[in-house]
Order: sequence, then C-alpha cells, then structure tokens
Amino acid sequence: MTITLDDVTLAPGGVPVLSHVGAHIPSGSRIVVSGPNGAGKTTLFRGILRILPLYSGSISYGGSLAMELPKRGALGYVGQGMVQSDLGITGREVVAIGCIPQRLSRRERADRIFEVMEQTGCTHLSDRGWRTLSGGEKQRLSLARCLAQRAEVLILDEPTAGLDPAGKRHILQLLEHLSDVVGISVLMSSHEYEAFERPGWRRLHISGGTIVEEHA
Amino acid sequence: MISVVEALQFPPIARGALVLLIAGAAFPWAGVFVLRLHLVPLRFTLMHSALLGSAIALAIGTSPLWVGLGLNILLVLIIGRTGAGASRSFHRIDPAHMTTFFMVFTIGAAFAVLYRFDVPARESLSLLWGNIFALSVVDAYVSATVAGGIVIAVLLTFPRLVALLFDRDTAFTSGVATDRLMMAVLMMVGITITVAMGLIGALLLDALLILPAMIATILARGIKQLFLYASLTGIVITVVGFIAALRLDIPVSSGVTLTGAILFGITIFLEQRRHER
Repeated sequence: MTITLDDVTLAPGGVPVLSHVGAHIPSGSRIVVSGPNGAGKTTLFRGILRILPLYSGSISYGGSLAMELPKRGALGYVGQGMVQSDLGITGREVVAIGCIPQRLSRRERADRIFEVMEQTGCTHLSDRGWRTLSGGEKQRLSLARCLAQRAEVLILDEPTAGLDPAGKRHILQLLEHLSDVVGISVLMSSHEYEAFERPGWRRLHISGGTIVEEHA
Repeated sequence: MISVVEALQFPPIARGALVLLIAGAAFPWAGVFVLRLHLVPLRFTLMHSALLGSAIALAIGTSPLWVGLGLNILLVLIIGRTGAGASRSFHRIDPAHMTTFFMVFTIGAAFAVLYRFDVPARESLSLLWGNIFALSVVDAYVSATVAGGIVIAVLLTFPRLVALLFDRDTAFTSGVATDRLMMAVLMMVGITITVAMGLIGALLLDALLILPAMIATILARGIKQLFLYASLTGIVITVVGFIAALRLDIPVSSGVTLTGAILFGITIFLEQRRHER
C-alpha cells in the first residue's frame, strides 16, 4: 500500500505540531523517521493511522485507487513504550486481537495465530501473561498481532527503545525479513538511526514541525 | 422471625429475590467495564442523572425507572457523541469536563425538583436505598431483560471488548470500531446503573456493580476468569446478602452491601497473606 501525505497539518489539542508536511511512502518501502524528542514523530504516525484527526491537508492510501481512509486493519501499529495492561491477557490473546477484522473460523484463527507467532519467533510466549513479558517479547507479540491482521504497513514507534543490543538486532532482522519476504512496508521511528544506514532503508528527519531532510 | 422459605412464599419477596439474583449474576459485568475503562466518574454522573429522573418521575407521578432510563440514555448520547465515544473527532470535548458538568448539574436539579414539588421524604429516600420488594412485574421484566441483554451483548462482542479493554489504540488499529463500541459500553453502563438503582438504591449500587468486579480483578488470572468471577461473586453477594437481610431484619440493600464489603475485605486480607508467603 502506498501512502501519500499532501500538505498535512496535525494539531493534537489544537496546537500544530507538524505543519504542511508532505511525504510519499511507496509500497514495500522501509523508512526510519528520526528527530529530537517532541519533534512530532508520534504525532505523524498517529495522523497516518487516523487516531488523530487531520487539522488540514489530506492523506491518501492505496495505489491508483487511492482512498481517504485506510482499509480496516491495513495499518499495523506498535506504540511507544508498549501497552501497560494488567488485564491478565496472554500472549496468544494479544495476537488474536489482530484476527478481529477478518471473518475466520475457529480453526483458521488458530492456524493464523500459530503461523504469525512462528514467523516472529514467539510461539513460546503463547500462554505467558502480558504483564510478565520483557520489552522485546512484547515487541515480538505486537508484531505478530500486526501480521495476524494482515497489515500492509507496519508503523512502529521506537520499537528498539529500551532493548539490549541483541534484542535490537533481532527486531531489525525481523523487520527486514518481513519487508523482504512478506512485502510489508515498514515505517518506524528511532533515535538510533545510524543502525538503519543499511541497504533498503530511507530516512526522514523531522525538525521544527516539518520534514527537513530525506536520505536514501 | 420469618424464615427465608416462608418469606419467599410472598410474590413481591420472591420476585425481588429472583431479580436480585439475576442482577447479581449479570450487572457486575457492567462493573468490569466501569473499572477497567476508568468510568468511575461517569458512573457517578449516571447515578445522579438517574436520581434526577426518579425525582422528576415522583414529582409528576410516573415510573422512576422509565424516566431514569430515558435521562441516562440521553446523557450517554450527549457525552458519547461529544467526547468519550468520539475520540477521533476534531470537535471532541474533554469527556472529563462533560462528565463533571452533568454530575453536578443533575444532582443539583434532582434536589431542586424534590424540594419544589414537595416529594414526601420517605419516597425521596427510597431513591437512595431502593426497595427490592416494591418492584412491579414490569420492573422485574425490565431488570431481567437488561441482565440478559448485558450477557448476550458481552458474549457476542467478546473479542472486540477484550481488545478495547487491552488498549483502545491497539483495538482501533486492529480494525475495531472503537468509538461505536465505546458508545455501546456507555449505554450498557447507563442502563445498568438506572436499573440497579431501582433494586438497591443510588447509595448502595456499588455493591452490585463495582465490588464484584473489584473482587474478580484481584482473584482472576485471565480475562475470561475476570468475567466469570465477577458473576459468581455477584451471585454470592446477593444470595448471602438477601438471606442475611431477612435473618437480621435489615433492608436488603444493606444486607447486600455489607456482604459485599465483608467479602471484599476477606479477599484483600487473603490476597495480602498470599503475597507475604
């Protein structure tokens, strides 16, 4: 899925954080968004996801038949700091949330959950309680949830923050694998953008309320 | 002293007991949402609104249940459409502001109506502690229908509700229509509160809604257990509370509330002991 931002202004609480931003995110691309704290990385993501209403401008989703709103479940989101829930929900139940938009039989749902948990290497977390998991384990389950919903674009807000070097490497390899093999676009924010100076990654730098640099 | 079996021979008492049991099994599910979705201030607003509805009904001589239900549905629509159920609208009003406004306005209006229309003190106070034995057949049917509606609605939308309880943004980006679902939850809570007020009154309805949900939250190790334990706790509280009320010759609402409080205290104590071990 291609995403195009045209002259977008985002103003959570009525205060513009990003002004007149434009960007083109082609299908299958891998983009890391950088910028200082408070620059508007999360705001940008929440705008693309339509969690935040647009103040002005437009965002279109899709290729030649672009839509004003994304197809339900087409954008998978893993938020900053991970969900802090004490609900007593298990890893498998979190991944199952991704199956909600699809009309799957019980058997199909079980197969889908197993398939995506295997893809992200977290089958062993199936019965573990969410609140007992580490940051890296939660990241993997969240990615599995996004895959379960058949997301075409993964939007990840600082997915490597707080992870040890091995954990970061795992997530990075997993994202590249999903992008190459499954064909998913990846749009993520990170302060450690040097780690993404690798083939296939683009960088968008946000500062002063707008996208100021774009590196291939 | 009349025995429980003898008491149940009287139709109003039997009807009240049955409705209380059904409510005990189902209403705590609404309490789970009040607790988990942080709707406690909204619960007060809806309680005050139902009180205003009842005050108006007493003043004009009609059914408190229907006027209370009407007012609460209207309030949920206003708060939901402008705030709590409109998270992605640019014209959203902070739900906390709306909730606070209506919380204060409705209780002020309720007391103004009670005073201005000379509603007898006894009837006014019955709004606060309810009267399970004064339920009409229609009231009983409405209560049972609401209880059944809660169970069916929750079972039919369970995966979506789990997603909403887990995290609203996650639910939304996973394809759940969160604003619509939130409106439905608010509506369920509003209706439940109105009906529960008729059973055990405004001051004591937490015994039916919140206490079982809190006890279940402490005991449950999973989301399905949470709902199951809330129901079981609600049943225990209402049955034991009802029997205790008859045996001790106290109002049923007091019996239910005291039982709930004692059970909650025991749960906290046992949980503390478990942690210390």
